Amino acid sequence: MSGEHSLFIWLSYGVAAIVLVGLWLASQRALKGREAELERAEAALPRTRR
Amino acid sequence: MTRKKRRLYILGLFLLGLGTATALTLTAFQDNLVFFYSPTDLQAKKLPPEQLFRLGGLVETGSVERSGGGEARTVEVRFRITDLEHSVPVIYAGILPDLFREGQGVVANGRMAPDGTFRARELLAKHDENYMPAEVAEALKKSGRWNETVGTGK
Amino acid sequence: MQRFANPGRFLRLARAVYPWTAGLAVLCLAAGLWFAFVASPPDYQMGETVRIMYVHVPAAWMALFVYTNLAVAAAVLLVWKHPLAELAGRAMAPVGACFTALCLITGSLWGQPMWGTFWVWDARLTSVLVLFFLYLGYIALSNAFDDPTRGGKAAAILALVGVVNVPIIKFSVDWWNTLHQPASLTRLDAPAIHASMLVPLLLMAFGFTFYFVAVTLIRIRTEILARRLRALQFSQGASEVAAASPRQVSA
Repeated sequence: MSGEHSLFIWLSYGVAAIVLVGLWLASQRALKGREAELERAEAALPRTRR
Repeated sequence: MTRKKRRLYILGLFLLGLGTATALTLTAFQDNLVFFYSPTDLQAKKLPPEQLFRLGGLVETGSVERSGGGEARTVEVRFRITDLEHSVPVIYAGILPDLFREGQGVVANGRMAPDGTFRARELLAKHDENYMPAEVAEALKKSGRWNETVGTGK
Repeated sequence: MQRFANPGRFLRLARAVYPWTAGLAVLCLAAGLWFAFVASPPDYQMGETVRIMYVHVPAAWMALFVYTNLAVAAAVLLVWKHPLAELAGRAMAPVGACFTALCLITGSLWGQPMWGTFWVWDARLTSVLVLFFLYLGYIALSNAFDDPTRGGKAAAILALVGVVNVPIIKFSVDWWNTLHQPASLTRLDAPAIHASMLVPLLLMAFGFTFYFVAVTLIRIRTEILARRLRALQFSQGASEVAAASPRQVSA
């Protein structure tokens, strides 16, 4: 694939890949972070309850 | 139950009101939402002579003249913009967009000169909604079914 | 409907459905990319540049599709007060904003070589930019209050006000003169796209849809856990206060 406009084509797909993969990874990381946080909070819970 | 229903009715009324208000506003501002005028609009509107505006339509087939000649892309070009009812002569000097060709849509930004030609400062190509491989386009043109499939290309 | 409104049940369901949607997204996008770059022909007018269509158009569809979902979630929140609807809205908005941004970026990368300009203020382009700002406004508003339920409610009202923009975007190319071309696929007579170009377009669109479902599921799970964490910290704080002054609380 060559031609004078290949830069625009590659840029479009490049930006799309970065945005979509980035959002997926960020969402995954946020979920893992929350899971860990909740685990810690629940581990600390019985002390105060009992 | 009744509370939910009431909230639902309120929401319905709200959307109805919002839709009506938007429709009224858009109709009121119809003229300002137009991106370009067609040659027929131009006949009807009588714009003030020095006003900058956009003129859109098809590049009339057989009307393109390049002074300077050759395939150079920054030459002075004369052509006519038509909407198949009226047409306006246009002069433009600058870089031509890729899709500039006879029979295709263009939008030119500029002013009417006293001699009745439109002096374009900027020229944009307008693409139509048809997408096909070159062979299919060729075959359609050969079989004479081009116009029924592609229409006028507006 | 009521069954999925239970966050615990939803969490289990989301965990079970997620691998399938993620797998389908990867599959559709891989096939779509192969068709987009290898197995589809250049356009008779635009040449190779037509390949930008296979990201631009599905991204534009998703921008509208996600917004419609957002508006439905907003209506469910305001009318039926489902707590899950608020979390779903929060989870979806950034995904929709990303698709809208992609639509705008790829659109201007397509417009520059084809039209001769990155941007014009015609009705279609302007209304999509407004959609992007609606998403940003939704995100900002839903995080603007200390009490997240109040933020969710305010954002839901904004989402419903913005819903008028959806038909405006869709029909802008028919109602007004625009530089943007009219729709190819929903033409009444026949789609104006040749089958060889329709295949990558639809594959990418399905890929984006599965991607949206997968990422939204992750994000809703995150929101549920965040809400749970908040409730836990709140009750912990309350019980600490209670432990410090038992008489005041029991009185």
